[in-house]
Amino acid sequence: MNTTRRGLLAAVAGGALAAGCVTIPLVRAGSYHAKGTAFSVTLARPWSDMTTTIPQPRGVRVLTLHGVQLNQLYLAGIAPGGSLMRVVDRDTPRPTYRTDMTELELVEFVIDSLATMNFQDPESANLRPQTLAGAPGVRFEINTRIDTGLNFSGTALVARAGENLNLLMFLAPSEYYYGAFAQEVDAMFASATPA
Amino acid sequence: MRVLAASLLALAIATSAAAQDVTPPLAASQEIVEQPETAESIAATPEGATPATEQPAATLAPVRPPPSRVRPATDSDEGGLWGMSDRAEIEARNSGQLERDPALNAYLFDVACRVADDACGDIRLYVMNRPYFNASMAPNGYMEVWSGLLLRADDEAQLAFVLGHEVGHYRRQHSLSMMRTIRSGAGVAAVFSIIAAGAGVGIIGDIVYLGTLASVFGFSRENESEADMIGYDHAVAAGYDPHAGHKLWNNLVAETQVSDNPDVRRQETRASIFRTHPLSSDRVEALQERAADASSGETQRERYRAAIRPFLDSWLRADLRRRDYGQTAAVLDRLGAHGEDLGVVEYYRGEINRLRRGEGDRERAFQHYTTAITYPDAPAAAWRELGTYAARDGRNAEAIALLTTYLERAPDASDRAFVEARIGQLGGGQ
Repeated sequence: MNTTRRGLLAAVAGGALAAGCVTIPLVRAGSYHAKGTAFSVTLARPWSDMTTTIPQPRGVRVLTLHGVQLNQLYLAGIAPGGSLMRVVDRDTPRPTYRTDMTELELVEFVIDSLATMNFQDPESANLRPQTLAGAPGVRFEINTRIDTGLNFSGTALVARAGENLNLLMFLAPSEYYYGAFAQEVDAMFASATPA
Repeated sequence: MRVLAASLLALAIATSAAAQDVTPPLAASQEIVEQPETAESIAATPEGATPATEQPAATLAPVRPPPSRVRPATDSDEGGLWGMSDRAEIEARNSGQLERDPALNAYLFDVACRVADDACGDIRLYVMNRPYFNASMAPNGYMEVWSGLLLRADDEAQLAFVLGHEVGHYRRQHSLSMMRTIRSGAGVAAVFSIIAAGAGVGIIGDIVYLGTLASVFGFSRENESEADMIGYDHAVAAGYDPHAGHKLWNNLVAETQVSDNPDVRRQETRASIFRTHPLSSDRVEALQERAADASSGETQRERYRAAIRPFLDSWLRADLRRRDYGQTAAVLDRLGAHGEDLGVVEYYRGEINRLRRGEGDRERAFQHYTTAITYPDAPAAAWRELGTYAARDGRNAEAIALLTTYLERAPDASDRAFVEARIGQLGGGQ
């Protein structure tokens, strides 16, 4: 009786553990088209797709090499009224994409979204025109901190694709991690082609 | 990390008496702020923290008196509470939100000491750049003041009242009695819900977390009323305006009522921080009655504005990022009430309208930017926005002139290359 009960408890505990496990898909090196975006990029190495573990809005995918605390790559196709972050409460105000935004407002949309995601005092720098998958867009750098005080650097490229907004963004700690992957990320951004 | 912070906070932090909105959780921090230190004050430094004596002394603050309290035995419940407060304080010191400006820190410490009486030597004050109305003082003397509070207080008297209120919680050891109530068993299930809520992500987790935190660990209405009266007595004794307290609470209620967020507008009638930090009419009335017969005091409005003026631009930008235009507009109305800083105020009124994009907002934004640039303190970005409007309307020559003025006024503008390219496009299109 006791043995049966222990076995049952073990099975229940095992089931609960299994239910709590989340599979993190691996994205292979090579051409990659993130679902919901209108472009493909070439990845120089495999990345882990964290989108299922950190739920994102429709059209937003987050990849990482070593965990999102160390590097995170956003690939997004955001529809009008859409957001870069997921909100549970529909009344919670958050930055939303509008088709009538100027290029500078697209940058503001990204920066304000980062602030809403709890990045501290995010700032854009070195804004310049650059194409994303052939469409005219804006490239800029990002300087911010996370709430524990660690400095983060980033780079982003945004461009309209019809009514939607295409976005590529890479964020990593300023110390070592950002610089270690900056060239690779730059090449990835340049590799974007219409999907 | 957030779970840890939730656990610590749940037991260690005396949450705000005055939280006016859903607020993000306490985050981690950076380094010590500049405050006057003495040998005695080092005894109160949290275990494991950098000794405060490594920092330069502030010039504006008074000499710090010795602490009024001795660290309790570590095997006591109060000692445990202090220990957890210490850990939260160390996180605050390393937080990316910590404002380290020496003049601002010294000024706030000075005001806190004016209303702290013999608890002045206990206070270690940290200014956090968080766009919400909040202040707190933990059992170990660790005090936080958030930038959203500083943006919303009209004058030094209102700030003094809030700080006096927090010192009131500290002096009466409200968080210790709160912890003992929780340990009695009633709050065990709630602790789990707080930890679960603390595991959320970003602003969403923040809101759930603080809502839950406040609903369980907020001070009682009696605690709040008592702290109000202590804050009032100490502020008035220090020579401040006796009407500051009820004016501040009334301002906050009014701001809540014009929020764009239905949750915030409803917060007195549903589970929220207000429910456990009750900003009820009886509290306001009690302060009003107390002030009715009091002799007059000083608001020190000019001195207060001078202290926060360098931060208005960045604090308003952070407030605007909350996307609660109704509340930010109310803040701007109060900031502009005395005809000061109108370049900044008008610019941010324009920003509200530009971002909101409601009926007639475009015209209103244009008007506010146009008014802003008539004042010497207008941010350079006001010219850029006017230039953008002119370009959209096809007034290319005017757009070029405005964008050029923007670049002249902001020579280090991060968008210089982009704006220059835009000027080139507009010039080619003429």
